[in-house]
Amino acid sequence: MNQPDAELIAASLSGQTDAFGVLVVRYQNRLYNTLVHTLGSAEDAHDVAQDAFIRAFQKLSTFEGRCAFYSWLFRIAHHCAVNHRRRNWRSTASLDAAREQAGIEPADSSDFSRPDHDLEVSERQGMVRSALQKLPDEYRTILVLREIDGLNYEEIADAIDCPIGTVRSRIHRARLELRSKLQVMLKSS
Amino acid sequence: MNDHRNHHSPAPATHELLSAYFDRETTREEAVEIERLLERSPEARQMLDDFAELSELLHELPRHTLDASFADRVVQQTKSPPNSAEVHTIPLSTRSSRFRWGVGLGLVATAAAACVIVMVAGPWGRRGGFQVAQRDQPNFATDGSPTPAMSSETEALRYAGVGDASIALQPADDSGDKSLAMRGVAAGASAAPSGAGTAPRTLGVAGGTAKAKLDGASNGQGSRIELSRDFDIRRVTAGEVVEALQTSGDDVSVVKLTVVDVQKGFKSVQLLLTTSIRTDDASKGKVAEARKFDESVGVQPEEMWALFVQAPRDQMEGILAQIQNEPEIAGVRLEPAIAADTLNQFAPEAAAQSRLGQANRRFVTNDKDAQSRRVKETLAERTAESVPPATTEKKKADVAPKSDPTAKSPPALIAAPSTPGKKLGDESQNQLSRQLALKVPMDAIEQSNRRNQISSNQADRPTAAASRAAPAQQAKDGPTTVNKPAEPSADDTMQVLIVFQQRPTPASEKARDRKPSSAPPVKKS
Repeated sequence: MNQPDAELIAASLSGQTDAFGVLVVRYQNRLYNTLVHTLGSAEDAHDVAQDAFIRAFQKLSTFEGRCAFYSWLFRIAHHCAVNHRRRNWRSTASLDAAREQAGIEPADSSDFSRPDHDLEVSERQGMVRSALQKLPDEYRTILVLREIDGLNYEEIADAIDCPIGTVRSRIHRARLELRSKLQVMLKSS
Repeated sequence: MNDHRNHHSPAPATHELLSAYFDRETTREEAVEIERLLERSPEARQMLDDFAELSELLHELPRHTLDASFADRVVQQTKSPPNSAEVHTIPLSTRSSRFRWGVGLGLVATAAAACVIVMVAGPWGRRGGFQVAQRDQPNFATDGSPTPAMSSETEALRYAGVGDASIALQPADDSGDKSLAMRGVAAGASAAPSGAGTAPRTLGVAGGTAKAKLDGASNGQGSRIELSRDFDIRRVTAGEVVEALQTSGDDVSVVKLTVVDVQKGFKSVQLLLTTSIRTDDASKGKVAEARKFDESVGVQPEEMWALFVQAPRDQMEGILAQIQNEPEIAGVRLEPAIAADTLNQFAPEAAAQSRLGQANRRFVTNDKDAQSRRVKETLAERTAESVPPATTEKKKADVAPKSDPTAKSPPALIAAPSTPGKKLGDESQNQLSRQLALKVPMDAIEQSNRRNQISSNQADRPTAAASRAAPAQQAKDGPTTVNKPAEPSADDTMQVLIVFQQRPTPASEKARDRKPSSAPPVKKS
């Protein structure tokens, strides 16, 4: 299980699909957790993660090892997520329309709506999630990659395929926007 | 007061540095700058505190995990080859030529092109010539009649791989119909059909309804894809994903189909080729050249265009893999080579000309004999430089024109070397980003395919997985030539021919319709 990614990739390319299975096990939860927070839906995250791993396997021969495997994997997942969003655009649009017409938030059917801690923590988490989901996609993704996934700027740049300067400015703007949405929660303010 | 605050407010550029400083992503100099700012600016300190608190809040969010069987499911799906080379076709209901015109008219409304043919050629050394993969057999011959490869009863498109589907949707009624190429991914492990992913299939569309049928290529069972009743084909646009149910025996799966646009596909692949291949000063011009080609020529209706690319093997393998993931490309697969002689036999009558600008017009001449010689020379030159000496003589012999009774008309062969004033062989391996645009007549492709089909039936046909892995396998296995064995290229380069097919537009079909000699009979409904 401690085999380096490069060895597992080489083994996968030589036809050992079980080696790829080890890679999946290694990164599945990390990718899934990031996707849950970027997509805001556990179900969508599951679909996108599965799609991403399969595509990663199909494209494995193109991985040149110039960036971390996870960054490369997330880049694929990011594309899958974009397609997924586009695919579900209609349902999202109808959800937004319902929200606008009714002036209420639709019931959240995701895992987020099932508090497993005390009420206060749950409420706080709910507010953070809600604020996060209201960020523009590019801000939310980059902030989740940094704060929740723990990627550094270079890895983020690889993962979303953009220059480091863009990563730097987007992270800052994302923080400022999240701060304005959660102003009431911040003790220091 | 305000002045005081403004005085200590960080400048916008410094703002970003604050975030980077918080993430420890600043240079030493930047860190010093920020620390000075923090000393004098309460606002900056406040911002930094807020960032820390936001970070804590985000870390407090619960972590989500997948169940243990997730990896098994993924691995299970990866065990089925994602792309394969075998193609099966099914006969469909006869359509009148009028129906086809209707399809063309529909295309204009959406600007979505219908059909993509991608032919990928392997290294000369592998099969001793162009190695070709064909995707989505064209439904139209250049003269408007059904192609010999497909009877008038057959309209076939390809379905490839694990869940990769390509489908042409062709409603039966003429009004506002359109034909769109789609590719898709079978969704989920929950209901994968028993034969899914083991072999590519060909999809056709039953007339009259927006239903598609496909054969169970791998197991002989009939399969079929059915679109939702709510699906309105007249509103579908390129890039849209639609879901359909695929049934095969007792198995049902959801197939996601993506509408693709062949014109975009052509452009994106061209861009991919020009950007993926490492460029140096000598080859930078080719990028611009390719763009110029793209702008000035584009993809004309009913034309079959081919890009010839030669590049170092490592780059080419990556490119081929990437091409398969281009959203507009319905699919890529390797097929037996188009023999050089098949292409070249048309050269004597070819009205060769270059469309790539003055610098590249070395083939432009009114002397058809000279044109022919030049085309042949180029093909021979390319062959000679790409194969070892032992096979060169044979290749040159192959290049000699041969008569072909099935040839319909003298098609045009447009060839243009990518480097002005230079012989193709003059370039070093590192500068091999040359592209040769060949306007390949459909007759040539079809003849080649038929020949290859015959040859392939006699020889061991590569398996789906082998075809997919062909670029990588070529280095290991050496030549697997069906009709012209040859050794791998000594300079370890690959040569690829990518061919696209564009369906006719309404304008071209109307124009063709006005020509009684070429237009097929039109049935009045």
